[in-house]
Amino acid sequence: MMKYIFILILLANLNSCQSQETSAYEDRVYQFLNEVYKPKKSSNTSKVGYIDNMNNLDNSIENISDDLLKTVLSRAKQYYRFHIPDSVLNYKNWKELKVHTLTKKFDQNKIVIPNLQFIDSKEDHDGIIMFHIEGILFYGNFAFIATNHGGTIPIGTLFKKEGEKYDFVTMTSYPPLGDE
Amino acid sequence: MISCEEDSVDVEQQEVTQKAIFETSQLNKSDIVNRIDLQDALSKAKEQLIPSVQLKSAVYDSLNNIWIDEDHISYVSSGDYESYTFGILDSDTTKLKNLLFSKEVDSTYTSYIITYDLNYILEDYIIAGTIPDHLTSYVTYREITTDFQLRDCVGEWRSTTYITIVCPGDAGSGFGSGTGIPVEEDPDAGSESVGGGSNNGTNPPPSNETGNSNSGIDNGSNQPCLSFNNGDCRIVTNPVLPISLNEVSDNTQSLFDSFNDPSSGNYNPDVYEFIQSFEQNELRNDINNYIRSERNSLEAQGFAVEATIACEKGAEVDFENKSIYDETVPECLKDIINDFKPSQNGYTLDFTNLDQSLLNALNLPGDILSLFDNEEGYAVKINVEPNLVNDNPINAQTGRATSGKMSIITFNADYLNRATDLAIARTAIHELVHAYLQYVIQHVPNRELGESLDALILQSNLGVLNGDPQHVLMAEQFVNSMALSLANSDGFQHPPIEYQRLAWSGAMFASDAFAQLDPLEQPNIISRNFVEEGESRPNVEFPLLGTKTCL
Repeated sequence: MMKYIFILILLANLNSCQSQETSAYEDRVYQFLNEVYKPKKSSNTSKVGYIDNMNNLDNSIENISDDLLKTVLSRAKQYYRFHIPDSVLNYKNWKELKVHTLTKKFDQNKIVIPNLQFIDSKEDHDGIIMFHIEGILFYGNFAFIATNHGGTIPIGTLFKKEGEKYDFVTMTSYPPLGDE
Repeated sequence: MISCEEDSVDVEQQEVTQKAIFETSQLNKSDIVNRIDLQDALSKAKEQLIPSVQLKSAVYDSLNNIWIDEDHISYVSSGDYESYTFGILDSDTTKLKNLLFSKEVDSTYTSYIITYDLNYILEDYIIAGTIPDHLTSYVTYREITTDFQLRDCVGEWRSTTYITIVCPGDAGSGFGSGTGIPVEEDPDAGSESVGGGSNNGTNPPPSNETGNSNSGIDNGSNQPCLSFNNGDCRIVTNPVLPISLNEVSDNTQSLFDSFNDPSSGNYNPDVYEFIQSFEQNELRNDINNYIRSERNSLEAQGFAVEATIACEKGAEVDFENKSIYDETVPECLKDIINDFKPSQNGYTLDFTNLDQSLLNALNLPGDILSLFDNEEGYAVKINVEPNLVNDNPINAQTGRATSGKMSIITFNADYLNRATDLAIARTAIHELVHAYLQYVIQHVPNRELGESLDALILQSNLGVLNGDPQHVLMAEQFVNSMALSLANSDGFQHPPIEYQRLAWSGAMFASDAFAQLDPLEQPNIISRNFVEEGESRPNVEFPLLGTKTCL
């Protein structure tokens, strides 16, 4: 009997060290984050990005404003040298995507890079500045992430996936910064 | 009317111990618009003097060939008394004529023509208020009455009643009693310094006048004088001297004349009238000196043309730095941009950390971006427009004048009203670099920088460039220098990373150089710009660094 109890406790502990069960969308999110925030070889900084661990990606469609999405896509069309399909540039198509999550908190165990940490925003983290992920969407080979820095500034970034790698396309805010 | 002849002794005695209290000021046409009584008197005087013709800023009588200059008016007041003196320009350079309106007790104005005979009285005397006592008889006046005819009076000026009380310059001393003008005690006034009275000079009044000039004050001293003659001391005038058009070199005058030549590309009658006005003597001199210093080069002529046209619209020109501030530019923006002008001894665009090859290509003298002192006369003009938008909001933009020899930087008024001085300084640097690149394209395309631009333009045309060539060049080559220049102008008050963040702006965000930045830093750059540009409120993570000075 004691042997079974020990095995159950061991299994429970093992389970706590393992990653949570996640949806296919969430798996793609983690793969995206690991790739996008991977330290640049040319970078000599050891900056760590702290992200609010509350996972609200279920609400990505609602959290990403039409204006922000339209602005980012408009800039991509204006400046990006590679062709972007019209369907990708149509923000309405992004708004019809389905996102599904199984977890309410981001799982640090699924992050394999050293410079990204999820922290609990409800706890006191003296001196640590974190940002919030408001939403992540995938459309074809393109990915869109909206982040908020300082609570008032939604910033959207568009990436294009080439193999396993995500190439930066453009980044802007809404309202956008003025042209110069 | 009080006769100074009768009271001359009393006046002299009182002058020893008393000073009239005069206030003088210079007015222009707009200052007297609402002075109804004066306007009435002016209209009546014009009717007498000038039957019909009126021009823009002066009244011209073609018959008698005189102008009444309504833009330069000397005002004198003392207690209830006041007078207005207008300059009169005419072809007779041997006489200085003024039109005087002297207020009467009943608040109406009596008008006079006052004439200074320059054959005897030097202009310097008039300027300094030191008309020698013995020459006061060469100052004459004639009241303008309903039967006044200037033409009929030619040659008869001296037969009219003498004289004038002249209170020159800062006015002040020696007004006599019985004038209704308040006086104050002057314990320092000495009898010798205010003596005089008799017309005992070596140059007697011409003609058959008696010259009974009980002149008031001997101006051998520095005392401003009042000159009494013929006993009438109720008129006080502060002379208005003729202002003549400054002569310029033939080259400069030819350039000015081109504005009046229908066959010239510069043809603009309004600008011609403007630059041919004596009121623009200082500008005429500046342009003349500039053209001479530039050896009358075509580029210098081009800038002089742009400068003249701009000044006619109220702009401010800096010939030394080949730059023009449009009349729309607020002082706060001028202050910021002046920091980057070499001649201001302020902070210049610092390009010291560029590669030496690029420094050579830029032809930078030390650490100075040579936009403001290039050898080709390339200029920059700054202006401000409201609601500057394209597809996106625009903080500022740089275009090129149709002449091709000047960049025009236009700031968005809305941006100036919400951004901090730090953000505006960054924008100024950004646009000045654009202007410099335009200059390079125009004048030195074969240097290294010009060739770098050519390569980027080619890539852009082939569709293999993210962003536009100038912003790519800025992002790849200039961003660190721009950050350092900003830090210089701000006195390094903040951590270097903040100036680095602010150095990124506009379409630089579309460049590969921006794409290669640390992805955790990229949003910080946007956030910092957002706060300083006034689009977002500061927060704990991004507190405001600059000051909003253009509100």
